[in-house]
Amino acid sequence: MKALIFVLAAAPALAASDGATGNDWPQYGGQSSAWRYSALDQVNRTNVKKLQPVWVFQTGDNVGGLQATPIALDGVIYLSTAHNWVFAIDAVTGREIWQYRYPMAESLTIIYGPGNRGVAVAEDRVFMGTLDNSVVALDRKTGRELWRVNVEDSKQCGCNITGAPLVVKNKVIVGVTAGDSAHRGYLTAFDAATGRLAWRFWTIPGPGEPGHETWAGDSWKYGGGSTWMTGSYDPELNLVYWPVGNPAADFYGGTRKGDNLYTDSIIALDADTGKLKWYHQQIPHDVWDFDSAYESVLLDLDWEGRPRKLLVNVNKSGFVFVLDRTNGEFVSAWSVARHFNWVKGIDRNGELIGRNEPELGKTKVLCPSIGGGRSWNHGAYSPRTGWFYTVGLEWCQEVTAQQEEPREGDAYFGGTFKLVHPEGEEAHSHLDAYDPVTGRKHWTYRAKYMLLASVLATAGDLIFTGDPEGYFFALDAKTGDKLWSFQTGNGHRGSAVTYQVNGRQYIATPTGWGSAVAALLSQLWPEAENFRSGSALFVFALPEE
Amino acid sequence: MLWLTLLLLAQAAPAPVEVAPGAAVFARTCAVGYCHGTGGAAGRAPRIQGRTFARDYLRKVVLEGIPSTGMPAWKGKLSDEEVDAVVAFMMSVATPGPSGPAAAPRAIVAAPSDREMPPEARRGRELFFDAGRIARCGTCHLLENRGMAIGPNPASPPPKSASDLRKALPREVGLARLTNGEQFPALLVERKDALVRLYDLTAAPPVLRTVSGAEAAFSKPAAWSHGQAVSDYADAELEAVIAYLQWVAGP
Ligand code: HEC
Repeated sequence: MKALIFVLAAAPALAASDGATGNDWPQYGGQSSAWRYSALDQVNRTNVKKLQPVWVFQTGDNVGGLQATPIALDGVIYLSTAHNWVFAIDAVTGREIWQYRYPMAESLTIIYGPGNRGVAVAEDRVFMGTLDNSVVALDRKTGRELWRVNVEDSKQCGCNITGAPLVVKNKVIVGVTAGDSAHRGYLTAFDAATGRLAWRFWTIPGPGEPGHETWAGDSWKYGGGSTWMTGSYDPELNLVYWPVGNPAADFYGGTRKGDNLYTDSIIALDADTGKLKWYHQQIPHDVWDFDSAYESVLLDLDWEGRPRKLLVNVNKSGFVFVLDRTNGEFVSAWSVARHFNWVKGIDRNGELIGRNEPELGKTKVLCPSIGGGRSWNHGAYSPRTGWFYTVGLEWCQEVTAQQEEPREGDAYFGGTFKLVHPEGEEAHSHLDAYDPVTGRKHWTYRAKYMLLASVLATAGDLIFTGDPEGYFFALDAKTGDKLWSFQTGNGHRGSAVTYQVNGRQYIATPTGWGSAVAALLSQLWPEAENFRSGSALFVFALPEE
Repeated sequence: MLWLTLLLLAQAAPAPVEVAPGAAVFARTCAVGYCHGTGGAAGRAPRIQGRTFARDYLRKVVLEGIPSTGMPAWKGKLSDEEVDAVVAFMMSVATPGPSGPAAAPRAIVAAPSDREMPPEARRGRELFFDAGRIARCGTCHLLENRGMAIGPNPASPPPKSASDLRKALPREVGLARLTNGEQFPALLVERKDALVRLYDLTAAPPVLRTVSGAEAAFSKPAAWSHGQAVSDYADAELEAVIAYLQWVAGP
């Protein structure tokens, strides 16, 4: 099925160690290049079987899943929960230093369900986006609120902030949800000191702007294009890379004829002004809800004989798009999901081959499902192996497109769907090691249910992640062999990190089952409806000598 | 004759004819996206199929929604008939609950504000909540349960002219001066526990700042005019907005 087959492997260039974390886990993706890789190697392939829990932190916010990436800085962990509670925790003892609870209006409707994927910490401040679409800045020492700004009224737009902010220099950049609602998406930057608006980039161009002609009629006003995850940043190029979500209505495009820019695109913006430097659209006129929402991993690799600055982004369809991040030029595409029929493939120029679209009033089986060939939970890149580690999901859906009236701020899906098993086998997932540019697979680890937690890679040649049944486990980065596992008592939907304090390496993982995609599992596995919810941070280390 | 049919319908168990339109409403409204799944098979929102519900409960939830969750209130968005139909459909796929499958008395569904709205006021409402403007009226004012209640209720009383809106003298807005040298036009929200909370009105959207009382001085008046807040609107647009505010204020 794969349209692209490369024989060469990409060779890691020297500068590639830049994306590693050290004692701290300072940012959402580790560093702003989003590798989710740590240079710490105290815990490694030979001793990982001795790993044991040292403390557990129960947040008490048990509905919606604990989806965060904890930030670890100078011996303190900053953790946010589904309903925007923030904790500062002593990274060695697990003692609470302070807590902050965002005062949420009881009457708030949360179309996409509660959830929060993390805070950003910079200098003396902690920043978080909220379910009612505000951004708050807290004092890092005390947790006291410093400023709060409402990005747009969530009662009107139906949007929330669930992604972690990205701090670039003196700006806090945040995206919003509402890509499956009648809403026009944007990305906004605020001044870190004062909370004042710094810039806004509309992901759907307005009248008179280039790209506006890619939307028929008034469809641009309600066209989605949400920015619900976290972007990456290249300080040398001073570019912020943000992935833009699907157009709305998701499954029906008859009222929004055209390519629908900049949905399903990677946009590269000047970090200071928010001006568009380049864009690359992965799926013109998407009718499958296949956002370009997930991480953009920034890699400097030798490719076809010359050093390239690349960007590796996983689209929700399961296709990984590799671009030149200096200009947006397409380099390659490959799929992490084996079951796909929404297209036949992607050609050498990045064009879709053989689109297979949902049809009005007719039920069709399309793969992968709306849950994605992968969910948002991030992959990791190890410069030691030169491989990208990420999950693939094998599931399909019966989908029926329908025409809906857009009502500002309300759900606008343009269809219904029901998950089904792929033809010839039971739905399942797998975690694999790939060459990041060619997609050549080096090993695979198969799981019964959908793996919906992020991946952590370390210089100990270990790959960590957790599963819906509560197991947190370590695989050998070179072979995929399972070396260690621990039952945390709750399913995994967050992102594990590692840090070191006083010479001891710790591995921290959120546990806490929940979220929109997690809830879909019961359509395939009835028992999944009763998977327990929870919300705790588990921290592991080697026994002290 | 029609009367008789209605009576009969109310007494008999729900006739299958009631279910078909409800299935369509359900598909269009409830089964979409990550919500209740095709036919109520569950999505991110709970399963309906095979669960036990009281009809009254379903009706109440459909109309009022469930706060702090993804379940919106459909009052005013679905018609009376549609609500009846969708509840009937859900009862047909659910297991009958305590109040049984028999039709419960019809609740009175409040229609959306059906007071006659002149076209100019309608255009004004669109402008008031125009999503394309960051500094729209709704960024600072709440009306019809939309927008942010930062400034006062703008419809009591409604302004008379565009120049009223531009020239309105600040009554509540003052000048905040912080010991770090910052100065900005501000709206005082509260003083509590040696802290001061105030909105910084320098630009839209306003920023709610919390500073220690010792670090902030607040005094009136400020060199601020409402004209700055409404500078994204042309006079003709403001006239339409005023027609809307007058409509809200009522006769
Ligand atoms: C950036 C925030 C902001 C925006 C945008 C804004 N206002 Fe206001 N408005 C205020 C504040 C603050 C006050 C109270 C000023 C005072 O009394 O000191 C106010 C006062 C008012 C008043 C009462 C005037 C009076 O003297 O009683 C009206 C009416 C009003 N606004 C209407 C509007 C309309 C209509 C729009 C859109 C065209 C709008 N406002 C946009 C902040 C804003």
